[in-house]
Parts: sequence; C-alpha cells; structure tokens
Amino acid sequence: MDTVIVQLPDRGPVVASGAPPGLLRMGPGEAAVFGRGEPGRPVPIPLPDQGVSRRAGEVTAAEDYWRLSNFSTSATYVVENLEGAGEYVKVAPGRLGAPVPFEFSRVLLPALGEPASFKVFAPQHAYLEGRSGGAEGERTVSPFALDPTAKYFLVLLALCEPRLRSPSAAAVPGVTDVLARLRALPSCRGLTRSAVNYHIDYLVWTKLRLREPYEDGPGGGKREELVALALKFDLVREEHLALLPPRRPVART
Amino acid sequence: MRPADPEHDRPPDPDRPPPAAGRTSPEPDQPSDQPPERPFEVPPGYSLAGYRTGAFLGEGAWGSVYAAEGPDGTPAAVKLLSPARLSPGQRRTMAQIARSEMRFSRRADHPHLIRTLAVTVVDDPAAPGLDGAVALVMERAARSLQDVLAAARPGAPVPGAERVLTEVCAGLTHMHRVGWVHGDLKPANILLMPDGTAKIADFGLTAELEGTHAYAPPLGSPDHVPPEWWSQRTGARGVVLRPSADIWAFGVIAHQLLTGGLHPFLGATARARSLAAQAYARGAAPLRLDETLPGPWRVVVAACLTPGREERTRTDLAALVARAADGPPGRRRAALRAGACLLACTATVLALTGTPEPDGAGLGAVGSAARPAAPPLPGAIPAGSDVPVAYRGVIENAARRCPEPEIAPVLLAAMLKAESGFDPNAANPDTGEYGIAMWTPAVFAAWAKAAAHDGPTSYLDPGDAIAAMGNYVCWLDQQLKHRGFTHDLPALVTAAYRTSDKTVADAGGVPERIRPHVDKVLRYLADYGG
Repeated sequence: MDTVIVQLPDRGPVVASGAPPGLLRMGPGEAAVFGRGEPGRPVPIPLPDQGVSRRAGEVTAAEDYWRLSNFSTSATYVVENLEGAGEYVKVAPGRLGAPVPFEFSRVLLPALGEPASFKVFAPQHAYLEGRSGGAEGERTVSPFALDPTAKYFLVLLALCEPRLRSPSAAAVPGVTDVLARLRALPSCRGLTRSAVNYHIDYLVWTKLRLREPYEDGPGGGKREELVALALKFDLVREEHLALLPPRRPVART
Repeated sequence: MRPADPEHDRPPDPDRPPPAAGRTSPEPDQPSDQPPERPFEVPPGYSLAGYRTGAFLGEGAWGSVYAAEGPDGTPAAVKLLSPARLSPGQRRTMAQIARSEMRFSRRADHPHLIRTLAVTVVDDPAAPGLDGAVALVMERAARSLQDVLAAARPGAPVPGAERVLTEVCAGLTHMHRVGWVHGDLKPANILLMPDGTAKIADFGLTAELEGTHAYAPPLGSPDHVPPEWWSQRTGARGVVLRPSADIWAFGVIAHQLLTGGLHPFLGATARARSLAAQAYARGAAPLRLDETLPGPWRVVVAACLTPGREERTRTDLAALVARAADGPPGRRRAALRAGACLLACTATVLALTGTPEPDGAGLGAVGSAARPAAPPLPGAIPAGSDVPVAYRGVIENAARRCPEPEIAPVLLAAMLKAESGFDPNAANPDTGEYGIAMWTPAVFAAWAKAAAHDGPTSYLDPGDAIAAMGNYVCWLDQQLKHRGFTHDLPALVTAAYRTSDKTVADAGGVPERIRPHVDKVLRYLADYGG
C-alpha cells in the first residue's frame, strides 16, 4: 500500500502543460531526500532552485502519516494543509522527523524567487468505522479510508446524492452538476471544474482503487462505477447528506 | 432543511431513554455509527427450526449468537443475521454475508469445520427485529481461540498449540481443495469444542473460487489480512480473494498460538501491525519472528508470511505443517508412528471412559480420531498407495498448477517412483542427475520457480524438485500437443522428461531405448488408478 505519495515538482519553469506530474510512491519506513541535488547525485525529490540546499531535507513515510526533516541550519520550512483553510505546521531548522498530520500537504521552502514547493499526499489515514464489531476480539474493517471532511468526500457525496435519495434514480451527476451542487458551500466557493475532475481521479486511483477496465465513455463510466461501489459498500450513507447544502425548494405547481 | 435542533449539541443523557425509533429515522445530523447495541432481543425459549434459544453468547461483526437446545437437549448455538436497522448498503452486504454463510456452512462437511444443523429464515411479523433474520443453528463450541489467546502467557506456546494448528490446517486444506476461500480466518473464528477439537467457523466472507480467485466484499480483519489486501483494486463484485490470503492468516495464527499470543509484526495497534506487515512486504524491513517460536514452525510461519502472494500460493501448507508437527526429519518417522499410537490409544481410552472432562486451562488433549478422506479429485493419489504422505501435497499442488488434464498427481507420482523411488537423496553421478525428481542441475535451474522458502531453490529439496518437475512436465505436455501429438500423452511426456520433446518428436513417439522406463511408469500409473 502506498501510504505517502509525493507529487514531484515541475522541472523548471518551462514545462509542457498537461503532462502528468511525476509521483513518488512510498510505503511505511521509506524515506526520500529533497533538495537541489549534487551534480551526478540527484535526489529523489529535486527542487532546482539555487536558493535551496543540495540536501535540504527528507520525507519519511511512517505508519500512515509522514515526517519531515529539515536539514537546513537557518531556514524554516512550512507544511500547509491544502484543505485546511490556512492551517499549517512550521518545521524549525535542524528539526528531524516532525510528524505531519494532513492528508493533502504542500511543503514550502524559501528559495531565491518564488518559494520552492512540492505536494505530499497521505491517502491511507484511518478512520473509525461505523459498523459495529464484536466487543472483544478483532474488528472487521474495510480497506477504504475516507475522510468525510475532505473535498473529495463532498464530490463523492454529490455524485451519490441522487441515488441516496432515490435508489431508482438512474443518472449519475456530471462534473458540471457536482460543481453547481457544491459551490453553495462556503468551503467549495473556489472549486473549479478541473479540481472536481482531480478529486474524481484521486477517488478512482488512490482512495477506492477501482479495478480497470471501467468504460470511460460519455456515460461517465468512471463516475458510475465510483457511485456503485460507494453505495454498495456503504462508504457514503444517508446521514452524510447533511454535509451538502440544502436543496432549493421545488416549486409546487 | 429542518430547523436546528438545540439538543444536537448536547451529549446524550444516559438516564434518558433513547428517542423512539420513529423520531430518529433518519437523523442526518447525527453520526448513526455508534455500534448498534444488539438490534434485537431473542426471547428465551424462542423456537427456531425446532431449537429453543437460550442465553446470549456474544456478538460477531454481523450477527448475534445465542445458546440453543435441540428437541433432544443437544447443545447448539444459533447465529442470527438480522437486516433490521441497517442502511440499504449495509443491508446488501449483510445479505451477501448471510447468503455466503448459508451456502458454505450447509456444505461444510469436515471434522474441522463447524457443522451447521439447520438454517431458517425467521418469519414472525410480530417480532419486527427478528422478522426476516437468517438463523443458522450450529454446533455449540466451548470457546474460541481468541479466548485462549486472551488468557495466554506470552513467550510460551498455548497448550495443545501444535494439535490445534494441525487441525485448523486440515480444515483449511479441505476448504481450499473443494474450491473455497475462507476469507476471514482469525482466532475469533476458530472454535474449540468441549473436547478440545478445533473447528473453523464463520463463513460470512467465504467465497467459491472461479479459477484462481474469488470475489468477496472488501472486509477483513486487520491483524490477519495479507499485506496486499490494503492496496487491492476494487470492482463492483468486491475485492479479489485468493487462498493465499488464508495462508497468510494461518501464518499469523500459528505465530500467535506458538508464542502465547504475540503477533509476528510489532506495533501497539492492529493498524500499526498491519502497516509493519506492509513495510515488510515492500522490502523495507525484514521478517523478524519471535525468538520463542519453536524451530520447526519457523519454516511454516515464514512460508505463510511470504511477501509475494504468488509465492505464497505455491506453499504446500499441509506438507509444511505435517513436517513441523512431526519434529525434525531424523525422528519424523518414529514420531509419526508414536503419534499414530497415541491417537489409537486415546481413542481406546475414550471408548472405555466416555467423553473426557473438558480441559479448563488448556485446549484439551484429545485430537479428533479419524478424519474422513476428502472426496478424491480425478487423478488424485489414492490414500492407500505407496506415495509418501509427506510428498503428496507437493505432488498434488504441482499437478494442479498445470492446466493440462494429463498432468495429474498420479502421473507425477508414477514418474517420481520410477525416477528415484521417492528417495530425495537419489543420485546418478554418471548421468549427472540428482534428487527425488532426478534433475540435471542446469535444467532444474531453468524450471525452478521461486521456492516456498527463504534462500535459493535446490534440486535436492523434494518440494523444489517436485514443483519444478510439475512446471517442466506441463510445458513438455504443451509442446507435444503443439507438435500435433494427441494420443498416449502420459507415455510421451514421460519419455520427453527422460530425453526431450524434440527427441520424442523426431522419433514420432516413445524412442525404443526409453520404452522400458516408460512401461514402468505406465505400470505404476495403473497401480495408482490413473
């Protein structure tokens, strides 16, 4: 299982847009150094800015979270929670193995120009499961870890909403519908089309790990499959509907 | 949206009765996911399929278990799977689990699988919680391995551990042989009968193999699922379930029983342990078995905990367990005989004295007496034959991995008998052939797949030699078919194993100089009923 995924920073300012970002997948106990690297000795997470040290620090996957080491003697690094509305953690110079509790993070390092940065995902944070297990002994769990406060969960919820409200509803909402549904939420005001697509891909590949091949046609095979799975295995339930904004009252005729 | 309810922010008052069901359904603002406290009560003396229910015994993930008594006073246990008060999604999963339980428990017929005495669906509209519930009446066990482990002292095997493991292995091997995967093997699902016999229970996640794998709901027990379970891809039918998952679980349970409850992976929580297992599977950490794990069993546990599931699939669990339970090779034969005597003697004592008192602290000392043979598959090695018991599992596995119908266990056995007389130390330095399958070392190297143990494979290891032989013979068979041969394939394959598929093709059949050897193999094959 990949407990930590580092999205490698773009190499230099001129990058073909649309090229998929490089990903570094890590499991418990694995570590990767970030920095400018030395000639002939590149580092796993390259940050090609003259203002960044050759070996600026290290990301270590620990259990289902990750730790950040700051090898700099003077610079403080900041880890932003990408979904936390300004929440961040500061890692002081020389600090080793500072735990980072966020699922979606961006690491920021002082650089000559814009701060150097890279994103780190920790998709396997565990959550208490609703289902009851035996009081003693081992609980039965599911291998999916979904955070009901995360944006991807809202996207999944919006996709599932019609079928949750009426099991016979046929159509799974499209990206435009999801966007329209979620924008009423204060936390989703800035949500874009590409962000919704991004969250759908994150659900498909990393959180629910759909088995291919799904039919990726105009009918929305990917979304269809996500909804079927989430409902079948009870990952999204009726009680979650309260997370969505109230629906417009239907005009009675 | 409803107006805000001021009570929602207040912690629940334990002294106040819970709100009536009508008011709470569904309460969107409140997490409904506190474990439902027994969704229904079964009144004492309630009749289910002729059995009267008694005391509440415990709760599993999906059902409640009650004591019960048959019309003649036979003690039984009733497991009730009720769809009451579940969300539609849960209800679907529950229905799937109930179906699986009904299907497999009814067909489970083995001394080490819990027997189901009756299955019924409750039809009682007057009892809304019970109506529609699936009731499974089963043998009543004394306790589970979970209970035993809870009381165990770390650092020493729990009493009777080897016997329990041998019995669980027998039950599991039987399940796999008839094409089932248990899917949730763990101490809580292994029950001990009043006489100490171990039986596998709980077939809620059991599934039938379709080829190499089955599908099951994505549910598991974190301490006993294999590392790959966490990253499996999911489809509409659930996750893929393979026998290798049960093998991993068996390895964990063996380690737990033999060390007094220690999990093979370190960590304070099941989550931490499962992540440690995943780190091991990714190669980030070595396997560190507890030092108190007895030597012969280290091989078994290490084989079961092989990181790659493909390699784990090739583990011949029955043979490994038999070897470990019988002690080191030197005294294996003697121990086997002693064991047989012990069993026979116990059986005699039993016959004289009746059922022994249930053993309080330990697991009980009595093994199950006779195990009825599993229904033989075509080409299976007959029970009474001269094929050494220790190799039968390996031979069966080697043959079963080959899709060609000619490559049956009996053919491999007949070839081995002709090659070496089942002697793992056989050698012919003149021809450069060694071991039980008389491998030419260089040829062996090409056909040996990753072994079910640490370190390199060896043509002198009977397990490796036979597994590689299965691969090679299978390939030869396919080559010969490809060259247009359709008849007498067992004879041709035997000849090709001694020479090559090309030699056989050039001769247009069995070359004359190989004829005596081939005849010998065909004779043995006939002896084995093949």
